[in-house]
Amino acid sequence: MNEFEKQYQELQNFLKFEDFSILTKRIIDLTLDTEDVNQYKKTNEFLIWLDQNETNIEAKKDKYQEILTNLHATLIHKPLAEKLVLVSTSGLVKNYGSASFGLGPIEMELHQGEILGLVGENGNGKTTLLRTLCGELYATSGKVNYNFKYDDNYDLRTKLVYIPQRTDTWYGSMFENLQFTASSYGYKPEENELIVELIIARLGLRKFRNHSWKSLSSGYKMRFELARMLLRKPKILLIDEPLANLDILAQQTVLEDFRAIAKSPFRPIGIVLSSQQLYEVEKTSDQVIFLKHGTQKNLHEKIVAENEVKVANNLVIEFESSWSQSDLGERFAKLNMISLQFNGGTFIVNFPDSVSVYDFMQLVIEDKIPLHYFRNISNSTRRFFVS
Amino acid sequence: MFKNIQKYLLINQPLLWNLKIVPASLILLSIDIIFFILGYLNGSIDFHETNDSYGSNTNEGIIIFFSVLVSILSTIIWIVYYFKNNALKSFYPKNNFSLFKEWLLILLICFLNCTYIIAFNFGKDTRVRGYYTESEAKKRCETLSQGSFFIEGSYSQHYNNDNAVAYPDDMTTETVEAVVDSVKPKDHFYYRGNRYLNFSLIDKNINSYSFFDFKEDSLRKIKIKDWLIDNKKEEIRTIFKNYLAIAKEHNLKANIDQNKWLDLIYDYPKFEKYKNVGNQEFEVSYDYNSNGQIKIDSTEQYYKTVKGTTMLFNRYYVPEKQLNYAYDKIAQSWNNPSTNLESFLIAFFVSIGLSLLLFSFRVTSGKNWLIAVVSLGIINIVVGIISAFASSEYFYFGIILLLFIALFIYFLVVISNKKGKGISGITLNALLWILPFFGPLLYALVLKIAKEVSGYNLVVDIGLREKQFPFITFLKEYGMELLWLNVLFIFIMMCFLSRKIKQWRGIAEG
Repeated sequence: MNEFEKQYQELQNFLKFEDFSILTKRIIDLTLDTEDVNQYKKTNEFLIWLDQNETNIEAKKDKYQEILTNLHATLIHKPLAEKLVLVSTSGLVKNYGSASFGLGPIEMELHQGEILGLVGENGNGKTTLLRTLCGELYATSGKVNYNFKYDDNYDLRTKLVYIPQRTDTWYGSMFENLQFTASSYGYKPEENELIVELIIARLGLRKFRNHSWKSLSSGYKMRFELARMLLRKPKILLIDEPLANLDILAQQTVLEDFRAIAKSPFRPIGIVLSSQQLYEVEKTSDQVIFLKHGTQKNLHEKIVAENEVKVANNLVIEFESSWSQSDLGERFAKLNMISLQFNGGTFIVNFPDSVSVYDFMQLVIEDKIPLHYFRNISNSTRRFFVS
Repeated sequence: MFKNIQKYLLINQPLLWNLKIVPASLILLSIDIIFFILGYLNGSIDFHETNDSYGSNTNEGIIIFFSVLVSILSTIIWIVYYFKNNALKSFYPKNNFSLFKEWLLILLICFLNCTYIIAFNFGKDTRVRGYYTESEAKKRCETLSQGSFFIEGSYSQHYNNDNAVAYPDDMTTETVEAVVDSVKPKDHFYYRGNRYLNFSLIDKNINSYSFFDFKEDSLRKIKIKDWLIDNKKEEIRTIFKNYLAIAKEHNLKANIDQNKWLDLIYDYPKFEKYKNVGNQEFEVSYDYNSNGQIKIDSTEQYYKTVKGTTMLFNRYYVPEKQLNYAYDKIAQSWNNPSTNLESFLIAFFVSIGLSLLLFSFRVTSGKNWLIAVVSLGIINIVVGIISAFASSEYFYFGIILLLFIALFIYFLVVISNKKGKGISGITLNALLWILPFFGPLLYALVLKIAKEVSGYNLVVDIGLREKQFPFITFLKEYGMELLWLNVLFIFIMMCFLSRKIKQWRGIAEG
């Protein structure tokens, strides 16, 4: 079963459990994958039909099945994209003249369909790395290698979309702005309006098509930026703090959108995003880079050679308890605790590699240690923040 | 309609949509047409008007003021719409000539916005030309010119340097300086072997119109003189008949008919005793004197008090002043219209300047643009002051030309290094702004150096100058053509620079 068939099966499950909202989004993704005007028309007509038949569940299910079957038939023979390396850096360093801060050296690789998360405290180089990767800053030393064709730097930058934390204001109608982007990127006149309609529907922006930029919340501004990005068909999307100013639900939706966009079986892109939301980013990303004072630490260490053994990690648990540090230390000593830190209302306990999370849980039960919350952060960049 | 056109352009020609080229050019063209209509309405000729009339050109200043005001307002409104989107700053794909095309379209809009005065003048010219065809107007001007020979006006001057002959008695009492001062016209002259007194009718001049050159005027005068000398009275009568017919057509009053006119002036064969036929009923701007202190020939003129003002009236008159004023305008509209190639060139250069200001703002940033305005202003002032102290125009021309070359090289170096834009955003603005002046500054510098080196200023004789300094003569003679060549240079440079600007835009900011 190839990637497309797996995803198709997933869509059938959405239909089975009547999860229409996500199903609609994924149908639009598949429609865009067809790159066929007739299919765009069909899906647009379907969306209009949906608006008028919101409550007719049975009819909706039939229609969904019909369009899914149609899309399956169209895409089943379409060749899947190879997961090639899009960009890699070697010894990338960026210094700002006489300023003490310097980023790097950074070694990284991003493939098609991969999401790379950048985490770290403020002022540690996340934005600098994003700006360097998108060509807005030049590397003081080292190299950024883009593994796709481009004529000159301008042409390269048309293929890299960087969405900064504070985006520029859009003037005029949102819909016209998107149509302008579409025609600038060479969409044919007959598909222009259809594709823009699909993309704004994909990002849940149909109600806001005629709104002015200033009347939109930060979340919807971000969505319009994403809509524009989708029209630009970039090789790499670089996005700075996309989750800032979003509520928890919106954060999850945006991250799910990123996954779906990046992992398209036919048109995968690479995404590099920076965020303070460690756990959300870790859930979505294929690799996470932690930056501290410009220096890189990877969440998933790469095994360079077959005979090289992966360095073992300690068990690191973050938890909240009403007990004192000395009481807790006394109990955890039984599991050969390495350290116990109290950090802003939460405790971080460090055990040797031989201790598992189950050992920790068993001890908590046996000793009836009151826990309000706990998380195994052994495989999270969270441990870099506390170490 | 605009909405549909814009919708079509949005999905087919995004650059044209972004520039709002169709609504902008149609609106600007409409404004041009309005100015043309205003000019057309303003161009009507009042055949009763003379150059003594007040307020004949008072509309001109108001029209210039309004055209500038409308230009500024329409530019601002257009900019507001145009600057809503910027594909270059958003890194949307562009082909190599897209920026050049964008500049050309900006230039078109700026040009349409700078031609209101031209449209107004063209309207005026069209209206004036509409009165008669060129051949008819020329024919009428010929009749008026012929008629002017027999109306109050100037005479030819016949000077004689031989004072001993002209004024033999004076020589005994006057000093040498006084002899020089006493060079006076002779009292007579010879024509076709006959002796005529100065101020005889044969001595009379004619009015010229821009249809005719000096040779044509001279031949016409000779023809009239020959008719008089050959006693061809009917030919003269025909001139008067035609002249008065034109006056009548315009409801202009003459108090003599062709026969009376002939009687008044015809004194064959000497043409000494003739009456002056006035060029209008009464003198308008004349130092009237109720006591009649100014000596007048009472058979030709008389004083009369009208509404408390004493004025000098002509006993015999034709409306020559009015006809001359009106037909001079008509002749000018055909031969020297206000709308000419020079006025287009001026408007074109202003448009180029304006378009480059907008284009540079568009491709760089507002911050860079402002810094460039201030720094270029300071450089100009400093270089200007140093040039003034050094009393050297070379210095100013030379420094600005060197600055242009330095900015150009710096821009190319930044592009080839690909190591950040540095201050090239500011210098690019300055480079684009100096570009239109490169040709004229080079021209002025070369001309100045050529004159200094060759000793051109030491030779006073114009003919000799032309022979001895063919290069300088060429530069002076073909100044206008060289300006057009400069336009070509600007276009070629912009074609090259716009491609480079696209590459430059892709370079890292820092």
